[in-house]
Amino acid sequence: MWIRGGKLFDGEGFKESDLAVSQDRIRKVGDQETPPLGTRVIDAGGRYVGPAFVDLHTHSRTPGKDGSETADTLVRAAALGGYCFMVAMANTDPVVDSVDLYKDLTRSFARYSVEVLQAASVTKRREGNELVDMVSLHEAGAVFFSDDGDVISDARLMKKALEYSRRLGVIVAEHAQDERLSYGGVMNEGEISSELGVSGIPEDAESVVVARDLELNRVVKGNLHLMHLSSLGSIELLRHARSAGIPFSSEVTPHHLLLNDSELREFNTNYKVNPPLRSEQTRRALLRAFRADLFDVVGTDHAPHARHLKERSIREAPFGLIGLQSAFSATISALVDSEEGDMGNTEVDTSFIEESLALIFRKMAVAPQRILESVTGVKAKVPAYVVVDPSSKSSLQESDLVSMSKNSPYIGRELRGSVASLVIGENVLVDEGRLVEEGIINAR
Amino acid sequence: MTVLDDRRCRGVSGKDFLAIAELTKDKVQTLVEQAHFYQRRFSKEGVRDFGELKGQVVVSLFYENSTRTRMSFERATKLLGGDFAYFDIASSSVAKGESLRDTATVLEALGFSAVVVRHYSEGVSHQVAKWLDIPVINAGDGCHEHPSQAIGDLVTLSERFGSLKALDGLKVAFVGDVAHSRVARSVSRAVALFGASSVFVGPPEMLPPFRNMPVVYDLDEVIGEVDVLYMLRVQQERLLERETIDLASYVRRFQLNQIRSAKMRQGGVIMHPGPMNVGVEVDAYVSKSLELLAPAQVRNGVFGRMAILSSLLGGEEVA
Ligand SMILES: [Zn+2]
Repeated sequence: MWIRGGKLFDGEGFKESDLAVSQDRIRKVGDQETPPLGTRVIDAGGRYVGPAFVDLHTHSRTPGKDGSETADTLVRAAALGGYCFMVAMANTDPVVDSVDLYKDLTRSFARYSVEVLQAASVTKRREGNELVDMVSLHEAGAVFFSDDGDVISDARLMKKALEYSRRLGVIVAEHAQDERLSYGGVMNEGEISSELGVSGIPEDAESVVVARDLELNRVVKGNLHLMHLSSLGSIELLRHARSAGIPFSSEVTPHHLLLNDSELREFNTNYKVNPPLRSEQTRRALLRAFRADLFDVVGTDHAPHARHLKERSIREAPFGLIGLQSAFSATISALVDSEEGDMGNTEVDTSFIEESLALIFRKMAVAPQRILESVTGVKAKVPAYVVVDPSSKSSLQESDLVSMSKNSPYIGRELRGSVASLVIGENVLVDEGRLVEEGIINAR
Repeated sequence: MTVLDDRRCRGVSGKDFLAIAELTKDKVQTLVEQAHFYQRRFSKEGVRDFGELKGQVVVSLFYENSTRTRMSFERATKLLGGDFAYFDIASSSVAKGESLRDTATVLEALGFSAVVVRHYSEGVSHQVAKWLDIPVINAGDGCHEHPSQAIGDLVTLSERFGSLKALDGLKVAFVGDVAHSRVARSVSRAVALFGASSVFVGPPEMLPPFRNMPVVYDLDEVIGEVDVLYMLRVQQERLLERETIDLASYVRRFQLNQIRSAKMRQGGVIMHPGPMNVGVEVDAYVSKSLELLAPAQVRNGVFGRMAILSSLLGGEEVA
């Protein structure tokens, strides 16, 4: 497999270079080389080429919620979004808290070219009372543990889990949100929630747990991963923790970088997400912190919900939005078009776009791979590359979405950027923005 | 910022009646004047059938009980010559978990002319309005708005103070659980359109967490300075949910009683959206006070709702 005529990401910036990809290796191709007979060639057409994306935060809905997503629809959405690898959260029905279920799921996901790493929960049934058998799960291959969807309220249990994470070399990922402070909340607590009379989730509901977890990890030095951070307090706490040498990794989502709580004014439940979309002031602070390298990764928190579940009132509709297919567009739009001034309306210069694109490759591909590998030793089995166009603009249509659920906040919204191709080893999964069905199932 | 801003202008169409926050002063003024017109013809000329909604059937979709509001809409519809139907939530497939959208769509398919929606969640009438082509009227959505109450209250206030113009410069105090009050949100927005200012009075745990609005924690501090004391209904079950305040302490600090009411400004009035909890937000004396406009609020609520229905469903403007 050759990718020709693209500008290749070299870790920092972009250089024109062709690339040969196979199941076990990649190499740059010299100017004079011609592809061996029978080589499939992808023409990047001057667009940008970089490592395919890795999502440490996907809700697969398998098992138990196949009215919202199936493995088949999930991997297709991921492929169109340029993802070659994702971590599937454990808040399924039943919860992934046992070796048997972990193994079953791992086996069933293995047929896809897009790799799905199944996470296990931290506590049994995600009830927060008793740790799962992390040792046995780890022996069975589990390296990512999270009760995501819920916080681990009990500080003692969290500390124990962090201790195990250090001993076993696994990641413990926290959905940081104090249950009492966020009780009954529907959207960000702020001016807009006051105006609408909608019950709020304050930013400090997140920060107090971030503070607790960082303090625990100052002592324990485990592998703490803080998911979907969304508050000014968290930003301050991360800064402090970094300068104090407290180990952690952190995640921000595309939607928290692009959208704010004023979207809720129309009571569209596709904007109901947890943690909630924050104020414009916080959104901008998150974006600045993202540029300043404070967050390690972008995670989608892809959370499909069947239509009938979202067509309820704002109080009753479940939290969550789908994000795999649109993550690249949402993130590049946030970086390039959503800042002060009218940049969105004027021509943006190439160096600014390339700088933003480099940041995206670092946070959506390089860093998540690196964190996973350095902590757990697990890495993507096959090299994978994407070809992206960071400039074209288009408006997302519901019919474009291949996820089984359509709860995207971006329907009808003009976004920048598209994923043109996805290559995983010898498999082409996306070509010129279209799914290639033969590539979805792993031939080997 | 094209990404965030160019969707802002969607949403508000003339098809529905959803929130005071989405209406212009002109629109509200027209509704109030139209309500006055119905009121005059009703009481002076004895008109009981205005005929504007002949052949039309308005249906109510109430997910929260409110006999008063529903009857007010029913009365308004019938005075306009229309017919009124109820959708019975309890015995319908809603109880079996049918989605909001499916239920609403059925009402449209049944050929109703308009739907009056009351729901315990904020925004439901907005959602229904987006899904349906027929007019949707918000009869109260969670803690968000109760805009038809506000139109009726403007009729009452302009009657009492002489005109809508006379509201300019008036001070209104809303007393009680402001954070959860759709009445306070709608009425304060409505009077603001005509130059009246509002102050919100209650214990801190009953005021919205983010307040770019004047708040006072002590009723006695403002009682002598305001023209309108708007006593909100205390939801006792809500009071019980809060660990930090009990009923006795609430009554002591915020009940409008005989002694407190003596400190009211000359010419000041008391309003209440009803039904009243006598012994909680007001005492027995105040509940019978001549300054209490509650009976007029109920009466004018009907004329306000007639104006709303007429503006959405009526033919020619009659005023
Ligand atoms: Zn979460």
